[in-house]
Amino acid sequence: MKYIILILFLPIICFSQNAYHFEYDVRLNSLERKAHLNISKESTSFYYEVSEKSSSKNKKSENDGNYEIQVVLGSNKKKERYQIYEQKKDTILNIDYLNDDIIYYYDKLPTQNWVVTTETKKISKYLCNKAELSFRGRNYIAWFTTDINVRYGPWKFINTPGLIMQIYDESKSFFWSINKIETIKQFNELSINNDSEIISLKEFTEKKEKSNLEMVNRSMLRYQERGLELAKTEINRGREKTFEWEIEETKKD
Amino acid sequence: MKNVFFALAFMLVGTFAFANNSVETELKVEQTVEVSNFLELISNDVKLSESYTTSTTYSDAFGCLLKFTFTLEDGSTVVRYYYTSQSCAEFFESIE
Repeated sequence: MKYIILILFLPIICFSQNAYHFEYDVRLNSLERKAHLNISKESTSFYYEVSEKSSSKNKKSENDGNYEIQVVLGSNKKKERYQIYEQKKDTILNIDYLNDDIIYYYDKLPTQNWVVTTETKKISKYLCNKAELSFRGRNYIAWFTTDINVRYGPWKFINTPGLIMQIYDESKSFFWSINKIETIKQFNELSINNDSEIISLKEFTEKKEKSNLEMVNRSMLRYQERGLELAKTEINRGREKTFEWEIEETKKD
Repeated sequence: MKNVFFALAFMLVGTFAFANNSVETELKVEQTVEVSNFLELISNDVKLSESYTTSTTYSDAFGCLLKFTFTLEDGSTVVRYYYTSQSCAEFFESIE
């Protein structure tokens, strides 16, 4: 009898949840790239592929002979940025770069209050529901499915009502759209150097923004040497416009 | 006979268990999005030009206005407006 029970349960054990791999097409302003969400029993991680292309183009405006020049900085280096989810603490360990130095930092995510609506649409063969989320200064619209038993999305979208198939902000400047779903046996675990210093998101953000401006200054140096004068600078943050500590500081003021 | 039966049953289960069950699905997403916001950027340029031409500080120096949009890896942008007393043609000639 016990052999029969064993035989009955063996397929369940053997066919239990594999690891999932989801590939997303991503657009971050003018940057386009692929990203990967890997989910297994042991871990969940997300990373962006690094684009080999670095584009720089000149465009002449129609009106007055003035020029608009678009430059992509720093995207041609082979440095994947990883995120490792720690679901219990709603925290993500990020592996990123400042100039050429690898940086580890934790991001304790604020509560994500997803508002599920009754709107639906089909993406490929999956029926998706619409959900909305306000996250760090931007309003996002997501299309999720419950056909696959995964409650994750790309980047920092966690505790989602289902698998995020597509998500974008209101201006559609930032856009993630799934293009491949596969089940695989297992992933290669990321190796993390335990001796590395882990900094806060606030510290990382401050250093990154300073580093970005320095990079821009360096790239403009040769033009300014030829008589170009700086009139105005506008800094537009990417996916995250406001952080928790900034809201706190505003409240104090 | 019973042992043979169990052995066969295990073999059958093993066959299913080690079968390749990888599933790959290529998805076609129906929705496309507007990629370029170039026109919006142009209109910003026009506003900027107008404000500068009414400004005594920059109006005389306004041979050429250049707007540089730097996109960083995280999708953030730094937009910088530069001017030079040269014409744009003269300026580009000087840096070539």
